[in-house]
Amino acid sequence: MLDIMPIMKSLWRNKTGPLLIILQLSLTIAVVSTALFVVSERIAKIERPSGLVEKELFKLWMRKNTPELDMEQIVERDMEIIRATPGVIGATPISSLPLSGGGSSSSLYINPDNKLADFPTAIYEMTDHALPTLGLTLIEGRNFNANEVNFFAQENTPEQIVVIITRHLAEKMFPNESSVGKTVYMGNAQLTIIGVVDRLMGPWPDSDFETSATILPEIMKDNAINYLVRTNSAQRDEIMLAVVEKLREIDSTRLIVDEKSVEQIKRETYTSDYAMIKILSFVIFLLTFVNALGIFGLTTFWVTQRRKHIGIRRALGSTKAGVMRYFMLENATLVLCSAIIGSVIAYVNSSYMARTQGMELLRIEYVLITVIFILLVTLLAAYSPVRKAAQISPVEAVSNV
Amino acid sequence: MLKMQSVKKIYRTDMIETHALRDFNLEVKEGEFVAVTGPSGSGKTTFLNIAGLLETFEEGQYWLDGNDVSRLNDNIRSKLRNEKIGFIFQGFNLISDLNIFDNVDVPLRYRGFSSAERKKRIINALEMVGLAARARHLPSQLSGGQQQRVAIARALAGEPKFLLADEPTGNLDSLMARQVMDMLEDINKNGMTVVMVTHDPDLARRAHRNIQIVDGQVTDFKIYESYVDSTHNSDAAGKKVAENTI
Amino acid sequence: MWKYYLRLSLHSLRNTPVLSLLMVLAIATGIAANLTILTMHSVVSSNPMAHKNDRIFAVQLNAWDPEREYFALNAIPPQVTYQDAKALYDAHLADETVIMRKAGLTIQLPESTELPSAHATRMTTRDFFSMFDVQFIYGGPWGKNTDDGPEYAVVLSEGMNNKFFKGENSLGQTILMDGELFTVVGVISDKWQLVPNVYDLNNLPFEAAADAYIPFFFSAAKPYQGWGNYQNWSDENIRNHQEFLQSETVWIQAWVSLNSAEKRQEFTQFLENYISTQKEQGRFKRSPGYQLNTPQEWLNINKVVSKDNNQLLMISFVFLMICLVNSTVLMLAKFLRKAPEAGIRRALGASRHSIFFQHLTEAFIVGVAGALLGLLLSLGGLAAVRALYSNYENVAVFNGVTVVAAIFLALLASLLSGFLPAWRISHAAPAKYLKTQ
Repeated sequence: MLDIMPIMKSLWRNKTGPLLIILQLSLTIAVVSTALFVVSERIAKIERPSGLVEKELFKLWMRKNTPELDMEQIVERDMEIIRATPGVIGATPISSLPLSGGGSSSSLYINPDNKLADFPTAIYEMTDHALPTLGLTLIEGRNFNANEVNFFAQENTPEQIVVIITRHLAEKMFPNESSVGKTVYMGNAQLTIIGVVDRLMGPWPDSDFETSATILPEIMKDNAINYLVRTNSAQRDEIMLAVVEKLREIDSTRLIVDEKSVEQIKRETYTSDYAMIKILSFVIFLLTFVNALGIFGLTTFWVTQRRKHIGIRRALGSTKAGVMRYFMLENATLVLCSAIIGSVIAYVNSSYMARTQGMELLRIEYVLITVIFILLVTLLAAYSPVRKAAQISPVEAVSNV
Repeated sequence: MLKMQSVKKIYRTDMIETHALRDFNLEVKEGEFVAVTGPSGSGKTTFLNIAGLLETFEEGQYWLDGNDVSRLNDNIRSKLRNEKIGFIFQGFNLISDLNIFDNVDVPLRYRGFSSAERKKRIINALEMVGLAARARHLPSQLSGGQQQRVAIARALAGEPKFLLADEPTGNLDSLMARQVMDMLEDINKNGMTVVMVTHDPDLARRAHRNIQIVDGQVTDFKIYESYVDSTHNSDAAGKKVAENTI
Repeated sequence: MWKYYLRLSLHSLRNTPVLSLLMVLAIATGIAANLTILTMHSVVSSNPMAHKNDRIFAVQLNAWDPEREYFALNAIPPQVTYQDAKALYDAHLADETVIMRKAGLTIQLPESTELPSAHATRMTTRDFFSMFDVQFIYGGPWGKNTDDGPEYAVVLSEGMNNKFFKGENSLGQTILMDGELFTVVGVISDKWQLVPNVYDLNNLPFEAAADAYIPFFFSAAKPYQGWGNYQNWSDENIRNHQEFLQSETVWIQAWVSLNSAEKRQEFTQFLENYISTQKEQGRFKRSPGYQLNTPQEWLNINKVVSKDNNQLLMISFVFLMICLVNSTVLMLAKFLRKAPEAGIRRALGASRHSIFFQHLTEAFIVGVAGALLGLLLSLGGLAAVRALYSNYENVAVFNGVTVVAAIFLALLASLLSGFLPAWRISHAAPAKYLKTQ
């Protein structure tokens, strides 16, 4: 008894109401499917692995206040103390932090005379402790040796440097061969690639080169630097406070500030993405709510308006279930029409966005999921009033008042 | 008061054309109490709607209180309805969530009377039908007969030119029916023209004159006379027999 | 007559409490979402220097890489080199010239035992304070000679003044900044916040104003911890601060005010001459050589209004539409249910207009109630937005736009959701509903 045509004809006869509902549901389907898509895109963006063992890491910023003491000495002393702290697995000074939104970048060239073929990359200055501290996976070549680590003053900027790069960068620069042993150029310096790690993101997650990074064992002696520390994840936050305390004890004139976990760095950098996810999720919730209430109110009204119609059906032999099926089918018909129109609206909008703003095109799964979801919501919202409709007795058909 | 000449009303749907009234002629003089009768589907309802300016018609003319109201727009018709016609319906048609006072008030609001004027008229009208004490009650708190009396008050409050009653006692038991009919007769004795549509011949006999509609036209008189003669009710029979006027 | 309609409408709404509530809620939700996003968007897209939009300009100089254009914005670097900034300042041609940068300095009271802390410090020339209408609660900007010295003067924010001097008049007091003693000459009210901070859009457009201000030329004397951006396209070897100052590194923001057409003419002439001279030395090989941007243009170039902002704005309007359609449907249902009453009124002499306006009044009440509730809910919405975005304290705030928008939306909602239903019921043929015969 899936006769949609009579239902459609009867809806068409009194078309204002149904047309309005179709408008409402179409727009809802368009918005919800787009919102779902954006939410899932953002979640995927946030969940991109940074390459770090995020749960085990924290950082702090150190700025010395003692011009007489050499930065290298200070850092090495601090590192010894930090590494000796119980619970600490590793520590390294680091120029800037992945995903933090701030840091340094540069361009690498394969051919010093061809500046136009450049490979942008994030630059990290770290020590030989970098790989074990960050939890990076070496897939080719080797780690730095302790004697390759060099603290340099600005006037003695080194020109021959060994580096470790990420796989993506290696694949871009040397597509079908190993990059280990190759030489590339950065400014006036010559970089020799000694190792490749699987993955390490740069400081700017939205940039074009977010997975290209170059690690240098050369640390410029400035007044300030970051420390990145790895601990076991259960005690990380306590150890962070303990380490900060201890470093301040050693020298209270300097700044030990801005300590935070890597997860917090990520949360802060992705603030607008998290916000978007939350706002859009709330919008989806509100729309569901508004539509459900609307369908509930409307169906209740329709049922009372059509008491006689329902009574006649029952008098002519329809079962209670038959009445329910009729109204549920009516609802489903409306949803189906709305689904078609809503998808068209969603796609038109999406392709406009794709063309003008360079966004991704909406994928069909999201529309399908949305349609099924809205169908369930409307059927559920209509259930109670429809069940009441089924209780209407055939006597209504003959009553005259 | 009311004169219709060669009125023709056609209802059209996609498939069918129904001639509800064809070459319909009727005249009601001021102060008359006229009953319009006929079987189901004869066109009584259409006549009522047209007489009450609720519907327009295709051909013919309609004069109301000396004015040609045949081709007026909706706004003017509404105004005339408001000022000149007092409706009384079979189902009373009171507004269920307004109290009696507010119900009688409705047509007066569209008249533009001041608040004081409206109040005066409403109280007068309710006193005339003996329901002034129930002014603040809701229709559901009144019996059928009382509701119809309220409807009469509502119809009278605006001092219309004539009353148009559609089966006024159809939903009432015989006692209440009699009260309502007595009231209508009294109102008519005081000079109000009354046009009453009914299919009940006993009721029709209480009017001065009966006009019968069959198939959209006023039929001739002869058939009607014998119909009247064959009734048995002696109370109602005290009424005048229908005149030979069409 | 409208008083009668009002009475009838209130009566009618009271008789269907659940339905009326649903309608009001639907409209309120739509309006609340719209107001929240609209408020946010209006601030994000606002120009706090609109009143001077034709007079002040962000200066861009294009001494970038001859082989490729600057990789972002409008293909011209947003900051200038030290050489170029100094040339602008020394010319003293514009009505006001501002060169500045953001640095992080350790600030402490002399002989304090408190832990030192690092604070955002704007190192700028004095015209900054007049150009950007800075409001002082004590004192004022330093004098001209202070800039040239540079002399050890500092302007603090009210927050800093509260922290170090308990909020009292601290003029004349001294404070240590990166180990050197500076004298307080002014304190800026915390109410002065440009939202967005158009004068420096390199980092976060909505971050709070700086904690302290010292004369720019201290940056020439020695390197400070930069908290802004440094960019350099060339391969020059920079071995010390002197070489840094002479390099092609861009790290300074430059603004000028030009109050008349003649002044603008003079200034652009000066720039063109300067650029030709520099070209002879091998610089400024790109074109255009310079660009002057009004605050509005600067905001646009820096894309302060993000794609997300725009997408949310659009979604909020569609959301409102959905809520309005929902309300229309419910209103239509309600009115049609009462069609018999409308029929009776028509029979008793009400014109179509009268029925129309009677029902439009009912829609109007629902719309106004919905807007009021929506306005209230939007306060919650704005609070939620502030919690979601770390530096939107000044962005997601109830302001005049919110209220005006609410009024406008109330009217729109009432009209849109009420028109169709009111029209439908006023045009229903009364005879159909009169239960005649």
